[in-house]
Parts: sequence; structure tokens; C-alpha cells
Amino acid sequence: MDKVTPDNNTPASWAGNAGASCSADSADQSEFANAFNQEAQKSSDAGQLVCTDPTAPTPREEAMQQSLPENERYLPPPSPQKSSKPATSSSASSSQTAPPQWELGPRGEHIPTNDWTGGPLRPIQDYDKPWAIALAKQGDYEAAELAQNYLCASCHILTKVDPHDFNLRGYVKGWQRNYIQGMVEVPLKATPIGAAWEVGVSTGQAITGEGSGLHISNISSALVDDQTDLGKKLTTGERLWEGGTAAVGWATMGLGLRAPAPAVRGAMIGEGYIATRPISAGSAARLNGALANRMQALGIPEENIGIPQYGGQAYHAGGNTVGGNIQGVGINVDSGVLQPIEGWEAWNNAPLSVRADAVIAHEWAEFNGATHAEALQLAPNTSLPIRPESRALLLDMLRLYGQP
Amino acid sequence: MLHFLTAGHIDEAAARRGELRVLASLDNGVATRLLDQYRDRSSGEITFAQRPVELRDGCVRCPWYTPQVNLVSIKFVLALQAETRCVIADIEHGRIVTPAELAALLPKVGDRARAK
Repeated sequence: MDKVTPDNNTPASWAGNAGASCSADSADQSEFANAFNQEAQKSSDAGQLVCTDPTAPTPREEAMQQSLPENERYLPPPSPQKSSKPATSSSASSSQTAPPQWELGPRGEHIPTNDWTGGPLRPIQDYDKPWAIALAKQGDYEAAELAQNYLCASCHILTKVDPHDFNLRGYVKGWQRNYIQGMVEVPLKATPIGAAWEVGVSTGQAITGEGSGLHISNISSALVDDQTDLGKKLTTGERLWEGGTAAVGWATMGLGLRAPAPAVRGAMIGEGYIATRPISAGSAARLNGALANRMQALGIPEENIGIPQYGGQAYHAGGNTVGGNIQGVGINVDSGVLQPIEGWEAWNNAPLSVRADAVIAHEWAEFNGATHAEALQLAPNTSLPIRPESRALLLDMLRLYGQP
Repeated sequence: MLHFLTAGHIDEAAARRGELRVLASLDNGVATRLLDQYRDRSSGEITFAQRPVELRDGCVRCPWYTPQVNLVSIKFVLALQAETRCVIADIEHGRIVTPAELAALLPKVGDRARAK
């Protein structure tokens, strides 16, 4: 087994990468040296050697070299004595440590750094998209990078923004941030735990006047901008905003906690249990309270909750029409809401809370003048803030029963 | 959400309040004959399209939207109204229903032909 070492022409800076050894069964050393010089992977005739030249620059190293001005590429590395000196010393050393003009973006685009001097971000012959070439020729290098690497987006953006004013870094950070906000942050905040978390963090930050880095929005800041609000001193306005957010959050949670607690499993909105037999008077009273609260929460005026001819309450224990309404008087939900409806699978599988919202929306549409057939059409798009599952249930009703 | 048609000689003003107030009973002979003509034959009870029909206080209460529209009920009530000149109401929803409204719900001859 022969040990392979780099040849004498290998630059010193790369020789340090050649510590790994490549082995073959019977190939001679000259073949391996030739393979190194060609910077290619080869198999020897006799063995199964596949060896990457450790002295060859990686694509990333090559890209880093291309990011430098042409007269500063492929220079030998600074000697240890020079590199240990401060960067502010002589002009000679500063030319060797010139900052890169661009950095590689997530789609291969060359994003200008803060030290960009305004020159081309890559040789024009490297562009192969006609629009990118044209933009580069007219000096709009950031727009040229967009046209080269973002095919569809380039049309959508550069027809609205002057290519001369286009900011590539802002665009790249923007879409990354939007993806994270849409896919992670907003769904997290929409959960009860996420919402409560935000209220707690806002409370803490309002009290201390200092950023904690714990807001969910810090996820995109950390991943895209590499920074959070940890330790940030809040301005008075920011502190007031945090305090307001906390106050609204606590008030909302307080209102939720004040809603009547369900006591009977078979009849309470929110638990989803459906009674298949008559419920007790006590259960009916509790169901009436829950339905009245729900109607109020959905925006039904108090004077329109209940129909005097049918007890005048939100829940009518004696009815069998699921819900009723008298125009100009009120609406109610009756005991039919607890029963299955033959042939309507979605209804039979829906919890009571979903059924109740659907019935309220349907009756409210009829209360406002719609016929039953019109209410079938209108209720799924009601302006009442009913549950999404209830809208789906009403859509299913329209699909099944909208035509004779 | 579910609707029923109540046909009878009833107080319209009360019906608009959601109250059933019967002024006179339906002609029993006419009602019986029409019920026998439109009812399901397979059921011992009086049903229209497998949905029960109620006879009470001299009125007939038929399934209308349960939630499928009941075309047999509509035809029956239209026939009953034509013979007795009775009032048709959706009591639980406080509405008087005109024969024209009901007739409009029946599929047209052309619709049936297209459906075939």
C-alpha cells in the first residue's frame, strides 16, 4: 500500500489540506501525481481508487476568490507575521485583506456586501439569461443577479421597480423572512399556547423595558438577520406597545375564563358531546346559557336572542326544527340540534359547538329576510365570526340540499 | 333550519308571530283523500318521502326542508290548498307561504327532461 503525498508544486496554503492519505492496491505513484495535477478524480487501471484532489479549491473557495476584485484573486496567503498585524496598518497589507465585494446567496446569486464598490458582481460572460446580460451591460448589477437567478420573480419585480434602484439583499432577506413568518411564526401565534406565550413575553418586556429575545417574531430575525431583540432597550413607544398588547391579551383571556363552565357533558357547547335522548331541565338551562353567550359573542343583538312564542330564550327545549326565527323578533336553537339528521353524515359527525354556530348563521340569514333556499347560499359566507368548521358544515348542507 | 308546512284554516297574523291558531278544521274528507293519494305505501304511518306527517287540531303539518326538500309534501299541500283554499304557513319561522312560492320549487317539465 503506497502513501500518496502532494507534489512539490502544490501551493503551501493548500498543502495543509493534504493531510489525508489516499490508498491504492497497485497503482504507481506517478499516476497519482498526474491525477493531482489534473485536479480530477480518476480510477486507476488496476485498483478501484476514487480520490479527490485535496489540493484543489472547493467550489466555495473558488466562489470566494471570484468575489474579490480581479487583481486580488489567487494571491498567496499572508505570512503569519503580516496576518497578525492590525488591519489598519499599511496600504500594502490593506490591499491584501480587501473585503469581498459580494457573498453567495441562497440561490447562487451574488449579493453585494457593505464594502461593495459598485462594480460588476460577476463577469458579464458568466450570465446566460438575455435580460441579465442586458441589465449587467447597463450597470444594474443587482438587478442582473435577480434576472439570472430568479426567473419568474425578475419579471414580477423589475417591471414594478426601477432596476437601477433594486436592492438584492433586501429582496433576498424579505422572501426568506416572509417564508418563516408565514410557515412558522403566524401558525405558532395562532395556537392558544403561542398566543399566551406572546402575552407573557409582552408583559415581561413592558415591565422591564428590555427585549428578552423570546417573542416568536425573533425566529425570523435570528435566522435571516442573525439578530434578536435580546437585551435591546425598548423605546417608550415600544414599551407602550408591549404594554397594550399584554393588556389586550390578558383581557381576552379573562373574558374567556368568565364564560360559563360546562357541567353536563351531553349538552355543552365546546365539548362536542351530543345527547341522543332528552336532557334534564338543569342541562337545558346550562345549554341555554351557553347558547345565549355564543349568540352574543357572534354579534346577535340581545333583543333578538329567543322567540317569545317559544320561551323567549336562546334554547327552545320543545322544538324539532333545529333552529327557528321570526323576522323582526328573534332567533333560537332548539332540541333538534342535539339529534342526528338522517343521511347527513357531516352533521352527525359534527360536535355541538360546530352545529350551534351553523344553525345560528342559518337562522340569522333567514331572520334578515332570506328564504330557506337563499339562506343555504348565504350562510356559509356569513359575516358572523362562526367557526370555520361550521362554515364547512353549511357548505356541505348547500352541496347536499341546495337543489331539489 | 328544518322547515315544515302547516296547512289549515288558521289565523295568519298569529302564524306570523309563530303561533298556531286554528279558526276551523280542514274538510276531513278532502284531507283524508289527498293524504291517501300522496302518502308512502310502504309505511304503516302517514309519511311523505319517508318523513312523518302530523294531523292535529284540524291542520296538516308536513315536512318541507328536513333538510332535503320534500317534493311530495309540496304537491300535497298545493292540491289541498286548491281544494280547500286553506292557508299555508311555516309556523316555526313565522311566515305565510303562497302557493306560487311552493309551485316555483317544483322542477319544471323542461328541467325534468334535461335531468333525464
